[in-house]
Amino acid sequence: MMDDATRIDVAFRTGPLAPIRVILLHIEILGVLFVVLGGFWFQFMENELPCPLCLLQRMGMLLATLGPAYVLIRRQVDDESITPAARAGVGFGMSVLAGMLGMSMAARQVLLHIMPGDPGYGDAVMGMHLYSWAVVVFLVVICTSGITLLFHRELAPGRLEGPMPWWTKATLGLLLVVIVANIVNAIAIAGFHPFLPDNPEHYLLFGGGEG
Amino acid sequence: MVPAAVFTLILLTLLSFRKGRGDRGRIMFVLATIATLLLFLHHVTDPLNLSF
Repeated sequence: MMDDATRIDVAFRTGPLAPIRVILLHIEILGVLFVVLGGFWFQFMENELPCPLCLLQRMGMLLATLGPAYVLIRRQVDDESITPAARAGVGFGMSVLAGMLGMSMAARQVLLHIMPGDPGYGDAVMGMHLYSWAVVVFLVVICTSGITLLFHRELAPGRLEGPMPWWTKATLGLLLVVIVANIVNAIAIAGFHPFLPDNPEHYLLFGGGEG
Repeated sequence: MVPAAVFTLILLTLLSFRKGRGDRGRIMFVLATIATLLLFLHHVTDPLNLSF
């Protein structure tokens, strides 16, 4: 006879939605990373250096990816004290908080440029500026997290038996690389100044002037 | 340097999720979120000369 904890764990590891649950977690991380990498594309290809609020929104996006990353990493940890539902609760609770914080920051930048005739900061992508897209991204993060929490019995993945699959390692590795790239990028833009200039035009670390 | 420090805190949060680290990841996440919030509040209050 299985005890309650084992029965619940088996229920989370089986069923028709079992593979989809894990794939969704990867999609959530990669989707947000795609947007952050899009910001890098504009920075290096279009030579549009990110403003302080842009970097704050990148922080919010990376914080939002930590929720699914938590679920992916901790499902491998042999911890009997936490059920799959509780693990999903912690992870997607993180994503909701990060989504709310990020949306506040993106909304702040939208409001800064809301006056008629204001050209906005940077170029538009498909009719919207990057900070407007950021509002959409954070809204999607909050909605996805809410739906996952609401349907946690169907969408929360169970404990992982055996080693972590290569695609999970690749996804988490990419997340790690993007965070490190942002650290280097922030140092390059701000140099040894405590904060970023309002409208950065040069990399202060490389002696590009006072922005 | 402050934005780089906040990104570093996010990196440490990700690393704290690893096996054998207990569940300190939740505390690290709260710290990283508060740091981001404080940086945001600094940016919002800076034009008002109320920066902290």
